[in-house]
Amino acid sequence: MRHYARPIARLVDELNKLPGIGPKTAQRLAYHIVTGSRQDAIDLAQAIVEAREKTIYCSVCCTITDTDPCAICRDESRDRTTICIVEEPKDVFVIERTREYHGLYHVLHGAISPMDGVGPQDLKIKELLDRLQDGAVQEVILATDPNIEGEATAMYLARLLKPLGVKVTRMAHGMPVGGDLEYVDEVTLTKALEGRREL
Amino acid sequence: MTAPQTIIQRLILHDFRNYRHVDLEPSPAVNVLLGRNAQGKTNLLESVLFLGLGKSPRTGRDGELVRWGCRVASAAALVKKRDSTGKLQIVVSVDAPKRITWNDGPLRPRDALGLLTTVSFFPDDLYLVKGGPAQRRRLLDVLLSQADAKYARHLIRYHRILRHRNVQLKALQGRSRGGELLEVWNQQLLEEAVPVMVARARAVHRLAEAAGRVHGAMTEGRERLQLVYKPFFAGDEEQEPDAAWQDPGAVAALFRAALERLERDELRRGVSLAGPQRDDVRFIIDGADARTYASQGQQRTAVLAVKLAELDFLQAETGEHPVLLLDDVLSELDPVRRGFLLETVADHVQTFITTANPEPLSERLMKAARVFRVHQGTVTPA
Repeated sequence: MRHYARPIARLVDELNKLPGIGPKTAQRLAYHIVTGSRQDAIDLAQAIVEAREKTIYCSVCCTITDTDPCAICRDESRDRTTICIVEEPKDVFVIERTREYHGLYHVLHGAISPMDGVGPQDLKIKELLDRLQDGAVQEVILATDPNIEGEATAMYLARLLKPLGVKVTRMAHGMPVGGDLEYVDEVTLTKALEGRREL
Repeated sequence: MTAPQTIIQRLILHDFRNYRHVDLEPSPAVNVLLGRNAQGKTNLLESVLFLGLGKSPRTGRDGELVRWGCRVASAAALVKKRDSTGKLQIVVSVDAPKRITWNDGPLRPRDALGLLTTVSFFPDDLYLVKGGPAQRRRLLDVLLSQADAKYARHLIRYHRILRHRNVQLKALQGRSRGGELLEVWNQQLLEEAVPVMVARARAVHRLAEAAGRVHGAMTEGRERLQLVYKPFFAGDEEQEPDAAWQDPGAVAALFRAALERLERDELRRGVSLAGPQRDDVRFIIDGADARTYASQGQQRTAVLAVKLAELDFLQAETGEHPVLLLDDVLSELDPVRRGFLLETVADHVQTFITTANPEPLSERLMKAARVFRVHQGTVTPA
């Protein structure tokens, strides 16, 4: 990008590497940063550095945390017999938002995807098995994404964990609440039909 | 046949292939696009297929549709359906994903399928009988995707799973057992493949009926055409379709058995050998495999019969006659077959015919048709 001043070009390049940020958005953000207040820019830069420096993987559940173990793993009021398995740290946040789940988590950091060169050995599965050693955990909820890779991961884990005598459940596929039937795609509808419940 | 028609009332192109700007008002009946070779006649049919299928059958890269030296192209059609009329538009850019809209509202590609249904007959189709099985599977896939959005979704998911599975097989190559790593893909493969295969079996069964009827009429009952769906697990010797192939439970069981039977070979070769990517459709004329025995004339009659059966199928499935696109094929058919085709579609199927030479078209047809002259990227009513 020749027409940018060099420092701006560098900033645009860096922003462009972020997920969901295309060249146009990167450019908009870069100009916003350099034309805004100096303090805002410094705060942003420091926040980024601090977030990166001060976070680690929880040695228990592998989520991203600033204390080890993380706040959830340390929380004595949580149900220690249930572990919910998710692909990414942000999924923990999403499920926490429901305020309905009071068990523990385990973050795999990905899903099985041969095309991307990701196999079970690249996921935090060994760490999960370690947690199941003492027999305290009775149920494992598989909450990997409902896409092809997430399903493959869930199936793999189900086959791995069931012989250990732990109850393995999978999040249900269904209709979005508050949505219109006609806007739900056919595959979701089919799965929702298969998983229907008697009232 | 009085079912409603799908009709393109207006076709507007901007910087699409060799066209700077086109704005046509086609006839709801027959349209003839007349022009010398290499003037862009086929590009017009391609734009209609692109709108109907959300992708071009001629290229995998949408960027190729953009006129040389331009960055953005668009194709739009005002489509009249049974109970609505709307504007279907696709904007293609050389450096951004394409955008599909219906009445200016954004549409996901899978929701666009079926809005503008088409049956096309291109010169390549003349090799349908003797060409490779991929061409015959493609015919089914294009037809079924337009008839049933669910089919397209299963097929897309299927191919994604298959790619994962092939990479996994490559990684496991040389081992004697696939184990869990293969099994997680088998299970998903099966889930998506069974609906695809059952839909194919049912479609071929229905196409066979309609094509057999048309073929009988064209040959005045002298020859009998049969179409037989061959799922990948069917033996070579089987000539009669098996009713079980239309039953999801039976197909799943046969698929499972094939996966077990083929596992060793798949691991040895590091590639998937089981699955509908190896299905085929057999053409049988008077009991003999047309692939080996049919003359050129017999092949053409068979292909034409299938094309007319496709029209029938889409009409029955969607309740509307699709649009028919004939690319330079009329000159390949003798007067009897040509007459049969045009009689069949007259009055109820909007048809676009490209030709370099109006000769094969009867005077009566040329009179009734709306004729457009295509010359160096311009289209003008004649």
